Amino acid sequence: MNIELAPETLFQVGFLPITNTLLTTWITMVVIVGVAYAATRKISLVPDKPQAILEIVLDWIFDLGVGLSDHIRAKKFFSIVATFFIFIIFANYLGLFPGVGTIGFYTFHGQEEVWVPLIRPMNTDLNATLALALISVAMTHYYAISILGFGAYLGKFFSLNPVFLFVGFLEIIAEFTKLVSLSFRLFGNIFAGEALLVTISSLFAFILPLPFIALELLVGFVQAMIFMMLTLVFMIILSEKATH
Amino acid sequence: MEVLENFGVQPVLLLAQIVNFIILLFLLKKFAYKPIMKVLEERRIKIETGVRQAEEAEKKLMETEVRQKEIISGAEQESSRIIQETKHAVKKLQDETLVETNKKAEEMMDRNKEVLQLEKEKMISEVKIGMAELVAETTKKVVGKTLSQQENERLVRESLKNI
Repeated sequence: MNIELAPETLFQVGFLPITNTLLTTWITMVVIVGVAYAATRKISLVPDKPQAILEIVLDWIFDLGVGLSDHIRAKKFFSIVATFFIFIIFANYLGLFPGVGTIGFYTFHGQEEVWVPLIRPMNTDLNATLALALISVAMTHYYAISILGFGAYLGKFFSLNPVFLFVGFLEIIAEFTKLVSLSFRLFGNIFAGEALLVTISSLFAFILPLPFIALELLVGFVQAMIFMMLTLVFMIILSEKATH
Repeated sequence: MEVLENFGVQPVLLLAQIVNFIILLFLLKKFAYKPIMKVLEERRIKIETGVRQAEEAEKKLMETEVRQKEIISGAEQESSRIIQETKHAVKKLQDETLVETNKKAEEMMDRNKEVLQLEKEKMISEVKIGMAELVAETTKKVVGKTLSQQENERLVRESLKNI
């Protein structure tokens, strides 16, 4: 069993290579929208079970924002942050379903024959996690500018005081570090989990992988939570009015 | 950048994933965030008004209870006062009536006495006259002759004197 770092291309549509992770992404999106639609189809003041569960999750995420900042900013950041959480946790959990990574076909890559899984967990592709991280950082800066104004935003990084100028320079580097840490943390955790499950399953496919699947359930939640919390905290910190 | 290539990062795929996220964001906004947040807000408002109304109702109930007690105690005082007054009035009336009745009875008795006295006197004089005539008649029969007018009158006067 050999696991490639890069996602495998299934086929090519024009300039866009359809990779197995891209396919999984689309399936995940369909599932999420389906669940959301089912939960809010018959929306009412007295909620049925799906609506109540969705309410609990969204209310919890909203309260996180309110607890860390204020009502106005929590409302502003809410939809981005909630989408991160829902998208990542669904993608991680759908990756644990049987068939993911195991249904596939052999194809010739040049001379050698290689195994290509049809469905591969979304977050085992750095394209996906890097895209999420880019959106996270970009939106963080967008919100900072829209809340503070462009002048105050620039003042966070540039200053006439040499000490603060140096600090600002470090903060610019930190912005790029965010990009790397957000994307590689999520990718690394999920990729390692998937590799672990594949390895264990290839050793002995019955019962033995169960504790690891339970572990992956935990990891899947924690990673979604971390990505959401970090994004929320970065947004709040950068949109905070400067005190120095 | 070679690292990124090793991980299979391609600008096209990156863009595709960003587009995927944006699509999902808008769909979730439409199907999840907006309706759920609206319904949460509606429920919050409804609970708020419900709690406020319950508090108001409780306050009103307390006020009513206090007023009820006030009314009852007031009514009790009023009723005992009325009873007391009525007792007094009745007693006074009784006394007055008694006095008046006594007076009337006395008056009646007095009148009766007078009438009786008059009656008695009348009877006595009548009897006197009747007796005189009777004596005269008897004397006539005994004497056997009719007395003259003057003698008759003298006799009557004499006998009247002797009675």
